[in-house]
Amino acid sequence: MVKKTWNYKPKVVFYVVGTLFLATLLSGLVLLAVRIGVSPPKTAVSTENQPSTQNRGQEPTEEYKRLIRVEAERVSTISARVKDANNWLNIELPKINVVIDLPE
Amino acid sequence: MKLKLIAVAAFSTLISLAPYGPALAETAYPQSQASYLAALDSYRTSQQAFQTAKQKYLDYKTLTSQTSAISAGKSYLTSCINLVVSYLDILMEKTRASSVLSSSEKDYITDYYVKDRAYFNRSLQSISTLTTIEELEAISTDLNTHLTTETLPEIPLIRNIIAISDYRRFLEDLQSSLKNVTILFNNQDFLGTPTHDLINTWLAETNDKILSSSNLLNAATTEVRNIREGNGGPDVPHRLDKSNETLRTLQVSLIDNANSLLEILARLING
Repeated sequence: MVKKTWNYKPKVVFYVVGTLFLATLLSGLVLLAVRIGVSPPKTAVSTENQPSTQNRGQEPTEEYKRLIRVEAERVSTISARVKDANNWLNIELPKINVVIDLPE
Repeated sequence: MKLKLIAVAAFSTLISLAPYGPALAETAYPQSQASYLAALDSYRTSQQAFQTAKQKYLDYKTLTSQTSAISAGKSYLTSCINLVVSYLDILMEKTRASSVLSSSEKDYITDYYVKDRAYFNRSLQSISTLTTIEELEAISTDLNTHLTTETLPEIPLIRNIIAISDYRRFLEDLQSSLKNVTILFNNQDFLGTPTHDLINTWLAETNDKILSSSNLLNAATTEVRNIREGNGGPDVPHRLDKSNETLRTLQVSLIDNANSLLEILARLING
């Protein structure tokens, strides 16, 4: 009687599984990074350490641009939540009339 | 060896899929809304089945067609109750999740929910034990009276109470954002005079728009409070429709407020 054996090469299996693992892990990390980038934590705009007012006609500083971006992100989030808030309001009950009349 | 490899593969797949978790969770439909849609489907199917069974009974009044009609009627009433209850569940889920509803508003909605669910549970019990056409007709009449005089007028009121509290928070967020944008504007000096004056005008206009939104919200709040407390006239369904319309206008207005702020911010960064 011939003994059944599983015919495979451990090295090949190791490389295939390893490659799949690395590919999914990397794509997952990319997705996570993108998500974090899209939705940064809400930060209130600080009223301190604002750029000095000596640069009329110049470019805004990087810090100033960052504060603007933070605020723009915040406003966009509010806008998206307003739109989303009404979605469930559009779910309405149908007209219901349950009077049953079965003449005998 | 084989088992080890499978275990390693399964573990690594789980680990590497972990970052997708939050994305999948966010796209999932809220449980109560999914239940409502399933209940709506079931309601429509049983309504159709009842109409068919009723027609068969009217065409051939046999004991079999009568039993089928009663059975279909029971299913129809049950599915109707399940539909309304699943809608009430959505409202209750929103109420529980809300961080801005006042405790009196939450109590009002919760009390109504508990009372109405108790009525529907009693009705379901009666429906499960009925055996005759007379009983079926009596329960359907009672259910219809309850729906038309209590549940169906109450639902838009509760919806509006929840919507108002949501919109109040959004408006406060926009007001706070307007303050931040004004501070950012006041703390720059790189803009040329024409752009500076233009943004100054836009800020004043946005302030006016947000004030108009606030007035709309106050109007809707007063109307809904009057309806809730039974003041200001009998035509409740019409007034609820009007306050609902005000809320839809408010929603458009809030989005417009946000767009105005974004426009100012874009101008500030681009000069």
